[in-house]
Amino acid sequence: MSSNAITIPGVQIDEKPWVDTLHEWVTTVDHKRLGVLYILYALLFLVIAGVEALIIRIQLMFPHNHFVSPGVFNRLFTMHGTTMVFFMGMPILFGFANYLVPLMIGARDMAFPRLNAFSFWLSALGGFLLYFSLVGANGLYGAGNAPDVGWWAYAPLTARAFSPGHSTDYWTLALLVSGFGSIGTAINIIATILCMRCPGMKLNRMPLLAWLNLVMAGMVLLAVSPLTAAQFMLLIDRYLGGHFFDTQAGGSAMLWMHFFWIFGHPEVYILIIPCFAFMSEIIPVFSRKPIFGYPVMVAATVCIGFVSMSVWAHHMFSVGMNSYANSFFTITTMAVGVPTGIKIFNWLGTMWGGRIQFKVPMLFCIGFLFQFLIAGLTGVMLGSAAFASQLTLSYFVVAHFHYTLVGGVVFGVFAAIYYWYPKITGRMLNETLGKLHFWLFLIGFHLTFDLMHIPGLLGMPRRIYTYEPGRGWDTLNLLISVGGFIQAIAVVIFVANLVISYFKGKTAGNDPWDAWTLEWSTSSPPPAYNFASIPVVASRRPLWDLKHPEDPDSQYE
Amino acid sequence: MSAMANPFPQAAATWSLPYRGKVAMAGLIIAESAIFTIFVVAYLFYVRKSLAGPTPREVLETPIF
Repeated sequence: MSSNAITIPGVQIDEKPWVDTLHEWVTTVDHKRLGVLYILYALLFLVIAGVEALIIRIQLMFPHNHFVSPGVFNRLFTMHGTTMVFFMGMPILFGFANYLVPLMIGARDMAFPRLNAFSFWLSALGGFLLYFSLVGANGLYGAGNAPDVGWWAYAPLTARAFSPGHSTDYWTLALLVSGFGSIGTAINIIATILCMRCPGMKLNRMPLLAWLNLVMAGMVLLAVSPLTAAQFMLLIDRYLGGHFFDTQAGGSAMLWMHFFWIFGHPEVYILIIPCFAFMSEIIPVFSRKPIFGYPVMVAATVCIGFVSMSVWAHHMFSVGMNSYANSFFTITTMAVGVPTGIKIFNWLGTMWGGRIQFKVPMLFCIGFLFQFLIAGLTGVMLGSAAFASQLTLSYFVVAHFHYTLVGGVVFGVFAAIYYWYPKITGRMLNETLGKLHFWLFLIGFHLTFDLMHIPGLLGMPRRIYTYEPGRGWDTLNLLISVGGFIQAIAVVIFVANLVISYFKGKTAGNDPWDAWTLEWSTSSPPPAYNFASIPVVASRRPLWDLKHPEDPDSQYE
Repeated sequence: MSAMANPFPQAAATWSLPYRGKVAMAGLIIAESAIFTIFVVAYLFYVRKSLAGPTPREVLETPIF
């Protein structure tokens, strides 16, 4: 995206051969290009995992349906979950962190550009390994050709006795490799934010996006590493005769659950905190007000980071932990709702009394606020051990976490793409198509995931291949599937908008939203070196200070 | 595509930040410590556990009833 070309009037330079361009992209260490690669890679997996979700929904559309076989169904939900969490959610958020953090803190690149490229290609290799299982996992056994153990891969299902062939190995290796990529990126983000800030940008002047990505990266170090360790142990079980999770030889399936969820629950916050960061940047700009309660927002995020590391076993209330453990994890789960509630309050406080502009990024932010609130409320419900014991492994849980990950993360990501696409490409996305995308996606989302709570309450188990008619689930499942297709149409419109606007979109200019952070002070797209000379800042809104020298923020901070 | 001239004031500021190598190494040590903590936890979980059991029947017994 970036270029350091100098235009000389009257001189026409031939375009580079596409091979040279490809080579430049593959070997790049520029944080902006790597950010774009992360985002494109994630969008590709969003489409792939979205198609998998649609096939799942076709299968569940009617009772006694046999659109796919039970084995294929197991593979589909495993690949859908694994792909969405590891190869869509994390890469797209790392992509935005890569692209935006150096620009927002006034740096020329990440702290370790080569490590950055290495981390991206490790993550890319992880996604490739997961999908290569479709070709390679058969091995000599003629066994299943893709992982079918679910995205949390509970023991003893992953033991060789129950998962012959190599499909589970591909799952394990894909997560191991991408995990190392994630750790590399997290180290880079932390080092960049702590060590590369431009003069004047003290910690209390950093954009909230940088603060929240700092917390997210810290959580990656602490949460992804246990998963890596557990994957090593699983490989030892499968190939070196270990019995860590082999229940028939004295191993413990519970231990795997703990190790997985020590990663798994913080992972939800790793995904949502960068979306909080998008909200914290976009809502003030479209409310024409500074963020309400900046220090409290930072404190709440750090608090979420700590508390969310101690809630993991609320995923395990039904496995027979003792009452002390159940009580502890219920209390911590309730506690993590407090700082999250503070953040929602502050975003509403930012909008309160502002001159709200209902541009597409802001529409997605408003959708995020209400949906994430509902997701949080059902989360508090499921955080109660007694309630979770009734509804665990039901479609109520599926509805809850999709409310978080689609209503929260995906809406947040869409808001971010509409907001920063002009900076990344130099072109505006089409507003009409954007609004069509928003409304269709909103309707589809609510049709699918609002209704999904009800069959869960009526007892429909998650991961069920098909079901008997007449249990009150039939019409609901049909409508849920219809909602899925409406979302798919919305995503097609979104992708078309991305492509059309790239070639024919209105020129964006440097600062199309009249925003306040440093990335809008440079050209769109930014040059390879980001800033001609390193900026010096005196407040949290340096561009505001520049535009309004008569009333700069630095007077008040 | 060319960069804007820097619009910000050039102030001579005393500005020092931590060395990126030290911060990155601290991050790596934290991540590696987390990995090995899990190994140690697994060791502590299994140390002195009986090699004779539990039997499949005991494993599959629901602890609720």
